[in-house]
Amino acid sequence: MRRVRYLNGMDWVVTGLMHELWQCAGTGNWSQVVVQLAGELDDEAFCAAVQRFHGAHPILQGKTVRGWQLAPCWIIPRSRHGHRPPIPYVRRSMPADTAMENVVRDLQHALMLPPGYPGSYTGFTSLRRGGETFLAFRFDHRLFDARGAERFLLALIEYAESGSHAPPPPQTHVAESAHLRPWKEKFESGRRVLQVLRKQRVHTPFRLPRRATSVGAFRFSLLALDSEQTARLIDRAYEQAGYLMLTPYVVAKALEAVDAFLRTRREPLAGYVIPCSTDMRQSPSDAYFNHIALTCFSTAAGADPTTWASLFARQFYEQTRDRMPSHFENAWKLARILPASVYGTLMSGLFRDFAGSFSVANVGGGLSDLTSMGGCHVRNVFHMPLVPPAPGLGFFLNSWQERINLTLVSFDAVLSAAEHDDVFRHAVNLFLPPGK
Amino acid sequence: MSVQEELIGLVADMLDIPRDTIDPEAPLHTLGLDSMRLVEIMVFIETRYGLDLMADNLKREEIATLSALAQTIGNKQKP
Repeated sequence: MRRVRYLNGMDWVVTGLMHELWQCAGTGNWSQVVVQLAGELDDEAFCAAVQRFHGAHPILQGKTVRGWQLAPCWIIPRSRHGHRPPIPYVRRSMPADTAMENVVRDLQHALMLPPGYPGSYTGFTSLRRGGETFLAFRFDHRLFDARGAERFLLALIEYAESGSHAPPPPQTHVAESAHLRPWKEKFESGRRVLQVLRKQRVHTPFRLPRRATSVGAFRFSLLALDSEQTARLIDRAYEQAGYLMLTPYVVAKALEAVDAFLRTRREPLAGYVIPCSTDMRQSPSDAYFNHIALTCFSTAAGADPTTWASLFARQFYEQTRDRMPSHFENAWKLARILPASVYGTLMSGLFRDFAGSFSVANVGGGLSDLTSMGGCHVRNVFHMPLVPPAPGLGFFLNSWQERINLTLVSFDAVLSAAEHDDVFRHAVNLFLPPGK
Repeated sequence: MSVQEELIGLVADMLDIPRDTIDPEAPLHTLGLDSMRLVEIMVFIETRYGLDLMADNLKREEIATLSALAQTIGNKQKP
């Protein structure tokens, strides 16, 4: 097995974000996938399978170093039998009548761990509510993006379901080159990216101002649509943005929610820039590390909101045609020159304007085939990612079977609890319009 | 190679699956395509055939399957 995996530009951006999160919120760059089960999971058996499975994947015990060419890389320990701390597996319980919003609030505490917690890039929380289990798989974004985490979790669940007590066979990892040359191409990509960003800044992009009080907390709200509500949402997306244009439609509706909230706050508005992550993995089976780039949507604040969905669909098309996600991916490789801690500081300071007004991501649907686990029927699968302190507000979309979930995340340095609830209320009205 | 065969090859490469598992009559979303992949198909069509289908406000049935897409391209190319 290869012991070194060079990090790409996005991996390094994610590492920089970890430092930014640590400085602003005292936590790492964590996210989690939550599997909601209609039954009580056998935690003893699943936890034992987790420990065996992780033990067979030394990559999960790696660390970042600078290679001899000064490119950052992930060093994978040589032995899979050496000493390693157990993977954290926390069990909690709540009364059966606990509201879903309180379940989400409880699960968010599992995310707030310091970075570099020894031997822990992953962890589990098994939360019981009456006869129901919420199994949360927490992961460090340095090792997985959301789609990769879903793939890893699926492999782990399949292993646990097999009932095997033997460790799974070791995995091989696709090598990633150091991408040190050609520099000219990367600088050209950087130039193209800056051109697009400048073009979008014709209207000064609105960004949420920092509040004076912050305890470094994040707030989450979950809008879980049932299959009928999802079908109606997809129909509306088709009418307003075009066939299969769900992502531009979600960006448009998220913007309407933020715009409606800001108007009640009487913020002076000029324009919006909304970065949206784009999946760049070469193979759907790529599990480890980050395979995403960005598409940036923009509009003037005074524009007619009913035109935003079709406008964003057009911007999505034009940026893909102009290979902007690839240029982002390529240009970010230059960022690896900087130490991650310096990069993190720049992102919360000098580069803050480039973070956009808020962010949107379609984080996947890779667990749609997961219908049961440990003898329990799966009721839903949703994501709970932390959002970078700048912009401090994010909408995350995931699908499971014929259903869509929308997770709203905000950082308390930009939105108070009441303001977060206001944005969420606007979002619910827009994603679930009454009478439709 | 026909237009439909080209599109099947493109989607097979995108999804990393064998060509013969792709039903050209199946709706694109059931093949596992999302907005990003659909846009990539549209970009391929513009590059290969010079047609900007995104600007044409096509009906769903004109682009909802690979077979329909191939037929739409054929119709647009007719003088």
